[in-house]
Amino acid sequence: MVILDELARLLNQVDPVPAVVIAAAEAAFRTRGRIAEVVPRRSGDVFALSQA
Amino acid sequence: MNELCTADLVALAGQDDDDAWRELVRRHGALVWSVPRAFRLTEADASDVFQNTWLALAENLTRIREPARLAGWLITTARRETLRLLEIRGREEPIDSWWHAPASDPGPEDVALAGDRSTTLWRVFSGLSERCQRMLRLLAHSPDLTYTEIARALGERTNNLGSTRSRCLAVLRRRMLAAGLIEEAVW
Repeated sequence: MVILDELARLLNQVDPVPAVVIAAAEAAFRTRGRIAEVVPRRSGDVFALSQA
Repeated sequence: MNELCTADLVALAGQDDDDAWRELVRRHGALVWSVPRAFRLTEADASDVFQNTWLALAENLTRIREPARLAGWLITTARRETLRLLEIRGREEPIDSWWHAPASDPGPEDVALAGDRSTTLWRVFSGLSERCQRMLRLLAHSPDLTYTEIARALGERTNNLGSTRSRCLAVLRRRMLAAGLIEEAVW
């Protein structure tokens, strides 16, 4: 649907997923089972991975 | 990876395929992000929800019952995380009170918009009801969501969701027409 496509483009432009958050999601996969926890930091910039 | 379906990607990721996982994040990242943002969480809080949702998937990859319906699983998990965060913060409010009229002064989002067309479309979208904005955010990123999945994500009953969807789209289309963003034939 043309309207929804355009809306998706707009939302990606106005409110994109921050790159650091995407990087954290990728890290969650690479480290699963080998870390005690993934600690999101609300400061927004950095996600710290706690080693088990 | 582009040509693989979601179920295949889930299966590959379950076998520790890093590329498959990245493709899942690429395909569904915006959808997951749209859930906490639709509930007006800040970027920092939405980042926590996003992070926890993908971590939950990483931990449950081999236990997903319907890999083809991953989008539904993700938005349900993201909503649960959103509500949990709101509860922790002790600022849960009735859904209807979350909507605030757009400020007359341009905000950061307005500044970020490059062209007049995008600015106009954002104003049109922001003028929709909170309920319509939430639903259309989800549909824009994942048009194939079922009514059951949308209902779960929005915390609503499935009844009348189809008519609500049609009404929200019709209002958006009508206002886009009025703003000169689309022509009559476009749908």
